[in-house]
Amino acid sequence: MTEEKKDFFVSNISLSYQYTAGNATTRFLNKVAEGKLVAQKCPKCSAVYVPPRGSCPRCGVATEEELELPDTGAVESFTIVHIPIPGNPIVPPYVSAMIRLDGADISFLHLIQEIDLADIRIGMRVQAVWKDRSEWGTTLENIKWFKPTGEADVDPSVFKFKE
Amino acid sequence: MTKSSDKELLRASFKLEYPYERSPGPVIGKFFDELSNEVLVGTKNSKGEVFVPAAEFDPKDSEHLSEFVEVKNEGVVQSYTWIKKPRAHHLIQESFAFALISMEGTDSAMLHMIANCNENELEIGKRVKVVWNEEKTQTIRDIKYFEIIDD
Amino acid sequence: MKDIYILAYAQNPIVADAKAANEVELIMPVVHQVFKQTGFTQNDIGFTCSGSCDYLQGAAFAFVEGLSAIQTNPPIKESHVEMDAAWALYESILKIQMGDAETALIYGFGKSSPGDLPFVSTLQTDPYYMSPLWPDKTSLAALQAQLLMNKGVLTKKDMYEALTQSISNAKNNSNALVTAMPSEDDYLSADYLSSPLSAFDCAPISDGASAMIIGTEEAATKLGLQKIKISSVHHSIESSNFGARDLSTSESIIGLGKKINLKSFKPDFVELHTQFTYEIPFIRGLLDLGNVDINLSGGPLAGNVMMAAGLDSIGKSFELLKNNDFHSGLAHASSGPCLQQNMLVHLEKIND
Repeated sequence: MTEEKKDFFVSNISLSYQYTAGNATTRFLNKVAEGKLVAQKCPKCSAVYVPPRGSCPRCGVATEEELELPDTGAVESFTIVHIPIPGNPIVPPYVSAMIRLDGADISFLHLIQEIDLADIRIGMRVQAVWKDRSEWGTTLENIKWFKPTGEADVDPSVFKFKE
Repeated sequence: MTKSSDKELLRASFKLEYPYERSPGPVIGKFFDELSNEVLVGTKNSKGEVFVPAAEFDPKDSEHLSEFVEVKNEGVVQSYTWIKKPRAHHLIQESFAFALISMEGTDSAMLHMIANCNENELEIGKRVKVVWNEEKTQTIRDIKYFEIIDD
Repeated sequence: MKDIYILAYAQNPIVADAKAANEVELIMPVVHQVFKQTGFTQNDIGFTCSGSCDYLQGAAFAFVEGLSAIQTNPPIKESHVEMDAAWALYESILKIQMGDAETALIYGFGKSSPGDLPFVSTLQTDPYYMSPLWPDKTSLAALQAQLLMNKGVLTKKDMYEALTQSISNAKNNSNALVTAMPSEDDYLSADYLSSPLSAFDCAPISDGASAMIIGTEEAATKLGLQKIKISSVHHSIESSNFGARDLSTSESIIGLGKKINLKSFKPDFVELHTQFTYEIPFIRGLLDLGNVDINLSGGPLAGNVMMAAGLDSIGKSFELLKNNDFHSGLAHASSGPCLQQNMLVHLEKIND
């Protein structure tokens, strides 16, 4: 044998798709493009979902009633990311947090900035920092990050999912 | 079922890639090594049947296969499908055929491509031979395609 | 062995492009329909099992998201197969046989429109010897069709008849996708995608979802509906090394015909999970089905929701038995290139 034996070869799987967001997510993102955060409410258990997925996964029913929520909320949980993630332009260390908007029953992941890393804590009140209106599109990236409001912390017991 | 109109329908194109590194193991690895030397090898079971490309196990009774035999670079078309207009992903972008080809002296067929011919020259039973890729990658693509052997 | 009955079945209208609708929005309507048919809620379901493939729409773990379509509070016994939901039905049957459930909810969904299905299917093939060559689903079926034509097992005319019969029968299914019927001239003169198959020979790219509820005899009796029993079910798979298979026959299908003892009963109809025209005359011959009606629902040639179409052939058989003067039906599900994997299900109407 003339060539050195190769132990591995790289498989060449590459597929192209046209992803669709889903009806509920589409409605949500179209509102985000107008600077509004519109949640959906379960007709059975009244849980409020943002971002909405069109269903209440606890009750297995469609969520249709929509309600606009403020862009303020509290930190339900967080992590400080120290490791650069390939393809992610944000320079570590930075805070990724689960943010519970006021009036919502679930939280979603976003960034927290304009904060000393040592100060981040569960229950901290935060508010969205939006990009300039001219840059808005159908994406949650319209919100650059959340920043502390300086209000008193909320009691973490409010994060308990309503029965 | 679909409530949103096309106007507000959000679509995003994206590419999904899985650049996994695969380990071919001792049998398939040996087959690929030999391909890069422009040699075709198969594996032989205890009944003397030969599988090309080299099989790790007899697909009929799962017998573990480890005896290698070299075979000729010529075979017979067992079935084919002519692709007049190649589609995305196809490696040959001119009319070509996918084919199942039994290499001479073997008892199984190999999936590969046949090119450099017209559709009317191709039929089941036709004899074909390997055309090697100049650049070797120690993969099944070291065979560029097969072409018809002129009688 | 416990007797197991199909209690309900529902299918979404099959569409070529479900557009925005995501997995939850596809699944929820059919799950609600089978609940309505039985009067059940999720609390009456002992086991839930789904079939889907995330590669179809390119969304990793879409099957987990799909769970948001059903009630999971309190937590439920659940499983998923990366296969057609016919195999989710099979797992559910085993679960009931084990005594772990009295009833089961099965659903399958597929959204093929966002991707390039014939090449998504390439990923089912051997990653060393086959998929690097990018053989598409149509070309692999064409290799088998060519061989069968060459051996005189079937002709293009047989394939045309299978197509026209399927499209004509699709009138029986208000959820079917295809209704246009090509003339014989149009069919025979159509350009081949992969010879000898043209676009007419291939099931249409489809989006949709289906659901089914099964249960024990006790559950069926309690419902008081017409009883449709799963009398027998078997499945088998052949080697993924299809170069080592004899593609002019199918050991899997012939073997299943024997296992299900097809000699001992004569089905009033057969629903086949056939994604290409040639497969209909081919399987008719393999199982020696004579002139029995095949795919009265139109079958996959009139709408082929990946990962649901196999369950549909069983569900449509259930509906045919329920709504007609039929007593016995045979349903088939399949998977993999060149009918690599198959399932046969014998369904019977039981009159108390």
